[in-house]
Amino acid sequence: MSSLSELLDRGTVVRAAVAVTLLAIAIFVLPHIAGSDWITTFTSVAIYSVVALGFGILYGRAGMISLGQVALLTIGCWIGTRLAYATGLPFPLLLLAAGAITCAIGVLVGLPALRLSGIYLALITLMFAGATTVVLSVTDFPNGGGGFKGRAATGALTTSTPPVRRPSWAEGDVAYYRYTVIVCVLLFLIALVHIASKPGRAWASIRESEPAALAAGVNITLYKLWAFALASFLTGVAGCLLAAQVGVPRAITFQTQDSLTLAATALIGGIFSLWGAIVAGVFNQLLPFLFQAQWGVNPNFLLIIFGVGLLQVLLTAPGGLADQFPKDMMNLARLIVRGVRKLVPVKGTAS
Amino acid sequence: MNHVLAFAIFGVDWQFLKPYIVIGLAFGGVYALSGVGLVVLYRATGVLNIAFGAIGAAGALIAYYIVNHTSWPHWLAYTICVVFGGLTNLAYGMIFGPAFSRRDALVKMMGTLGLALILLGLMAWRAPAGGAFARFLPLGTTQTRYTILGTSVSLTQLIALLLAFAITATVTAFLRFTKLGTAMRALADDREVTAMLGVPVRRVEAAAWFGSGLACGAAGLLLPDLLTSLDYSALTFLVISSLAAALIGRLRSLGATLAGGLAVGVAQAILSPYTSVSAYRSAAPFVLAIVALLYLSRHRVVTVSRAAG
Amino acid sequence: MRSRYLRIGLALTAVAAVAMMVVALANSAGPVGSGTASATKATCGKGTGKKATGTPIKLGGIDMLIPGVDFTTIGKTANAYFQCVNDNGGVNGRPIKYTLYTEQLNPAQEAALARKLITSDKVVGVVGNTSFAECGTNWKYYKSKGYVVIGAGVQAECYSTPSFAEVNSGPRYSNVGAAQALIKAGAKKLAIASPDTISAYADGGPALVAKSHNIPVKIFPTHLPVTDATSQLLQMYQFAGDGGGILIDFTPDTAPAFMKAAEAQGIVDKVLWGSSTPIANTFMSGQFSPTFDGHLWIDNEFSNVDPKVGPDSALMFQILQKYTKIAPQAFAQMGFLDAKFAVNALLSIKGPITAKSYNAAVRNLKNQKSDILCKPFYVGNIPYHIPNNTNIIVDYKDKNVVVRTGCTDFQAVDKAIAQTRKWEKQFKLN
Repeated sequence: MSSLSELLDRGTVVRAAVAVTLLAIAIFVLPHIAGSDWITTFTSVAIYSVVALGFGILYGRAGMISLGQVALLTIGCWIGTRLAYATGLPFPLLLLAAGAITCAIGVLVGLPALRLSGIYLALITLMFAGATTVVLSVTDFPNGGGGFKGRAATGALTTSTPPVRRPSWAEGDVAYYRYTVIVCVLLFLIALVHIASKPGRAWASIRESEPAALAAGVNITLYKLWAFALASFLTGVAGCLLAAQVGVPRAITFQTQDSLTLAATALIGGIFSLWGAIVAGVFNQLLPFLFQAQWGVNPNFLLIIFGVGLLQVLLTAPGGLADQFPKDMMNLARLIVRGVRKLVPVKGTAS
Repeated sequence: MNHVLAFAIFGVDWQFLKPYIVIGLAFGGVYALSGVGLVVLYRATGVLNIAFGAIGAAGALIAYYIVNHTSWPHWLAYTICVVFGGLTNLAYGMIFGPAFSRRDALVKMMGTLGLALILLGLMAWRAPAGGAFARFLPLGTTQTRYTILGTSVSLTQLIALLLAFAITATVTAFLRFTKLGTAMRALADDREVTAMLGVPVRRVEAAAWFGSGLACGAAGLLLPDLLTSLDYSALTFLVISSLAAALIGRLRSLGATLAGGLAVGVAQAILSPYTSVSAYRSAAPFVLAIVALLYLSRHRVVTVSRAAG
Repeated sequence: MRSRYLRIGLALTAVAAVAMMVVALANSAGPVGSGTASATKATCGKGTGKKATGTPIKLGGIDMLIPGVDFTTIGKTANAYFQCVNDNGGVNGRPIKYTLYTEQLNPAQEAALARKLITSDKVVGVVGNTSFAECGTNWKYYKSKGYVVIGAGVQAECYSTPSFAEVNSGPRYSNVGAAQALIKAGAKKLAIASPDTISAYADGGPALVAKSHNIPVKIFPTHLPVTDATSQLLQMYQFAGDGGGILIDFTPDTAPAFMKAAEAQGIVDKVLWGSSTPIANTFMSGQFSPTFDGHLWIDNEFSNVDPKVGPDSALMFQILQKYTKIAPQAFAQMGFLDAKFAVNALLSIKGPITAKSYNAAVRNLKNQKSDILCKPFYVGNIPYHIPNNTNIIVDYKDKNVVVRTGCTDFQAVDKAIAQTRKWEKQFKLN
């Protein structure tokens, strides 16, 4: 439980300072030391961090698991693509529109599912993901054509379609990376504001015990829908960012099982902390790049690592890496301090 | 009179739909068998094992290797496939079962997702797919065919159906009427209390995991034949469609799961002739599951989860 | 008590894991091609027999690798060709260093890998790419860097952008070839099935062909993995009717579902069966011959996989045997051709070998003959490239693949094909 005054306590200030420093490094320093291949990967790390954030808000904060977040990402991507081709809206408005429409869809989907929880909610969201994949593989993504679907029969195209447009001043890899990072930070801030104020407290009480929350006068339906709305909005905006990053999104690259691997990486990263969402993005997008392109390791090992990591998180470290890593570091630090103290006795005491 | 009846369904000829209903029932056996296996596991152990497909696929791969690269008899390969299912489930249950025992069903299911990912990674690493070839695991019983209402159905498809029925009947009776079965149900419900009541928890658990694992192995053996190819990636994620059948049975009733699997198969098949929706018919399992879940939860007000997280 | 069960459990897991690991399934690729290699008249590069030393020339490629589909065979065969060239004097005495990355159908990853190859690894050329999505993701980037990729394509963007020159025809045009053949063989109606994710592109071509002959056509987008092949097949048969044409466009892990269903329902000899290239191999003919003998019109983008076809085919068999464990197959043919033309481009460069000079040389490729192709390969300075637009038709016979019809041009009903033919004449490309 936290309120605005508690936010300003020392620990939070330190954390905020660390966050701002890392952000500055990400925006100003990284593009100079990392090549465009890393920058492209970091862009998708940022995007998938937001998706993991949505998952974390739903599950870590409000106790509702959704195994269909990548379906929402796909929908957001689709809407962003369609609007980008059909309208001349400036890019920020595209983001907002994609987020808003995905939010509406998420609420519509969440509304009937409100009564479900735990395993049933997980499964109904997985079924939703499965249905979305099928519909999308028939419809595919818009490519500048007309009509609702916006997909011109490719035979009619003898020259290539322009990719989904980016903000006019952020066309290049580095510029778009910076743009994406800034937008993602804004999205994280929106989530943070929610968590630190009334909705966050309501979610925490719902997660602990629904009957108790109900007894305490919390409007469960409203706050549950709010969680769906927020998570869907975040994911929708991320989808639009993804559309412009990819340029030519195709249905075949979005599979039902991606929702499952996202859930696994989100859990491994840590669903109770915003840092965990970033770690999840790293696992989901950076690790494959490292395995393939840098270390030459068979990418199928990643699946094994995700599986083992997931089991470990569920059994021993429910807070995920974001929770476990600082603890492990503290333990390590304590061990070191103790070791040093033993080796270097304090002046004045017996050795 | 026939013509009147003919227009009874969707305004379309019943005669016209006959073959699709038969086909749908035949391949609905796929969903029914996997769905029943899933629910059996769930009722006996409290775990919805979504590694079901992966374990079956791994067993099938081993059987494939034995059939194609050794001179061992085929029945041995099939037996190994089924027993592999039992052993893998047993191993998972023995190692991770107790650790997850106090957690709620969702967490237990997520644990099996971990297992599924590990198995899929192992299979993809050791048995990479090729371009110019595919793996098949045809069963001898597919050669025998029967013509039902004008459509040819294989003996394997009938076996899958019969097996689904047999498992449903036997396990329902077993869980209700035998001491071990009752112990299993108690165990799935509350491990602590059951242990306190003097039930040999470990032994009962082992029996539950192994027994339902055999169903997993049997499904794993039949599916590659029913789907024609041994595509372990597809088989692993086919469990998502099989979950639809399990959800229609509310994860509780084996009979409803069986019926649900068949319904899903028929729904998917009879959508085939309708051009406007035919391309979307693979969504039938998912849509039906969503409808079933929403309908079945219409009276619930609040939910009480045993442990947060 | 607890530890005992734990140990039993661990032991069982170990058994299961070992059972899986020991089973060496990795090498159960398809059957090795028959026939002995004929006297090699084709050589790798200059064919000097001397190992190349000197500063390596860097090339790179990106192939898709997902559980279920493995395109790295193409890149690995290309690499084998490069190794052969390196053992035969290299390019002006310099060896070729080929870096092959795999991607898991993740567009951001595809983009990152292309950038790594070009900006970080500093390859002079990208060759050997095959993926379901990479052409679409990277064509603009390759264009901005001036790179032209020689590879094998699936998507529309592989054939509609300046950045790719594919050695194969792709599913759309392979279907066109099959459709033409079916119509010529007398099919009065045409039912076409492709995976739904490429159906609009892949089936649009044959549909145009059918319409130009006033033949009714119906498209059946198929969701993968296929669970109910029988019901769809019955629908297709119902539309096509006896003596009609059924055109299937699937790989060997999906096509059998339809073919076995056809066998089961007894309709194999009631219709004319057409297909795109993926099932034109001895693995499939071994499975479906003699039932389908005489009933198939498979469009094959390449020659039969047989060393007796010609010197390039013989060389391919030799290279595969010497440098890889890959069995001869269509993917190997693609990789072989990718590498051969890349090396020809390299050998044609007069001055220093840079990204600029290599890609300019690629664009200047004309009249690149090979017995694996019907007509010579080319690239040219044109807005898009469809160099492989003439194919053969094959059938199964006695467990083998036999040629039914020799090299036949695709009908130019498709605007892209018509335009391509104009360019071929105008620039004397082949």
